Amino acid sequence: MKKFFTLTGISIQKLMYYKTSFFLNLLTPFLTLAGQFLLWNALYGLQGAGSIRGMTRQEMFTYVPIAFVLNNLLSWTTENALSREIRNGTVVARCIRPVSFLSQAVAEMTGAVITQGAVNFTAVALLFGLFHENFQLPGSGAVAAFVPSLILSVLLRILLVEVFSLLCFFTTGHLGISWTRIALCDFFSGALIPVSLFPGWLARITYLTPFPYMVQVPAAVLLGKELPAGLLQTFFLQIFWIGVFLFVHWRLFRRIRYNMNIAGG
Amino acid sequence: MIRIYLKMKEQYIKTEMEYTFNFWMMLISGVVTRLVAMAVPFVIYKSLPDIGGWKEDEIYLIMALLSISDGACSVFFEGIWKIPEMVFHGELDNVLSRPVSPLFQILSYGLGLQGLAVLAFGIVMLLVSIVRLGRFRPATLVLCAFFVICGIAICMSVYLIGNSLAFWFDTGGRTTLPYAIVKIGDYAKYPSSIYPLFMRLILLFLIPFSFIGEIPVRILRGENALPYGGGLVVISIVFVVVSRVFFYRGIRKYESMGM
Repeated sequence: MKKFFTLTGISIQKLMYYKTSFFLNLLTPFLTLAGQFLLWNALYGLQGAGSIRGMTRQEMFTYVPIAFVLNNLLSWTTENALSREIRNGTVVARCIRPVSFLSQAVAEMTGAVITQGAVNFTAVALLFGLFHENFQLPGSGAVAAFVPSLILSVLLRILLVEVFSLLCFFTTGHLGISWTRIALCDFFSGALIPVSLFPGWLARITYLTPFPYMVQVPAAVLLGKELPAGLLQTFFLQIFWIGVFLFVHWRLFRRIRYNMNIAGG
Repeated sequence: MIRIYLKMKEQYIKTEMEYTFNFWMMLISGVVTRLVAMAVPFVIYKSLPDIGGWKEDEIYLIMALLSISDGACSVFFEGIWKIPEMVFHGELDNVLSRPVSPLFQILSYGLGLQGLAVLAFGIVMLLVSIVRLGRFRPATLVLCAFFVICGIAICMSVYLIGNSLAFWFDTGGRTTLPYAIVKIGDYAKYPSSIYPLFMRLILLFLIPFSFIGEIPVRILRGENALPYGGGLVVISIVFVVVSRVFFYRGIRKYESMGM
């Protein structure tokens, strides 16, 4: 664990080296949050009625910042760090360190999650504190159930990013893979629009993928909204997807390791 | 100049096509990102009859015009997005020492493969939307061509201003400022009339993405065609001039290697 935390610390230091960039990276996602608020505020205002598909304005206003926090725990730079290293060859440094390849990536991304998560949760807590009458504040029981769901969702996201990054060993660029992953994640995780608003057929398909277990599910746990299964089963589904990605990572990395050529090594 | 430009683009596309998997992956990502962007209003319209008096196909038409401008910028002016990296690594030294306009060199540098897919997707979406809106006439197509030219000019100028900020901020070659501008521009997917006044002013005059999608669709709807058309031309020209000035002012701040 000591090595893990050392790598996490190094990751935080690396992120903070260029201070302008660091603060801009932290604050840029909030533009998306502002946009979401403006859009839903307008839609509820135009609608006149109190709810859209059974979701009240207050519920939506609570869902939007929570989904935002969960979806923006990793920045573009962090998510693409491994992909870039694979493309420029510096990934070799990871292969010679006495720590497993996966642990290094998880440690680095955990470092980024800590800094971005601290900013995101502080901002949302301030928002809830200042305008609490507009939000549906969760009870302590919901918060207690949310914490394990949050941890599992972060781990799932990190593994998904890691597996997609490994695909860069087979391509000559990483942007196409990253953009595709982000687009699929943003929509099917419920980050852009709650899955509960999807038409029935689309919601059913969405719950067969790992994406909603990263944003929609933990947000629904916190807000006490409908889950794809019971609470315990939902935790198991999150663990199941983590297991799937661990397996895929293991298979993929094994194949990569056999085929990898290191110049001078 | 145009021959050099086309020759450079031809070389870039040849290079990119050498790597088949990557080529197709970039095209697929272009289509997937736009499909997902379209899916949001699709879901919203399943719950609401209209958004501030705008039909679903009109929103898709706005998105189509935005896609075409964005895709064309990516294909023709991808080099703009390389400015922060070039500034950080001192690669502008090469650009500045050549006897060709630095801005021209930057614009002709690189080619955004996903832009090809975004551009094609936008054109298809535009044609489908105007057919579904019952406005498929030669005059509409001519107007759309004019809107697209103005849209590309605005889009390119905004991206150039955003990326030229790298001359003033030391961000390790990776700045999210241009992406922040793009994120604000994303609000223009919906008619600005649904937003508060400050947001409308931003989308009309500061990051004028409403002039790429919404205003052209308003003209097609027959709303104040002349003032809107005039505004579109003025905004396009003003932003092209301002972005050029901005870029050259930025170059004066450039400190070569080791910045």
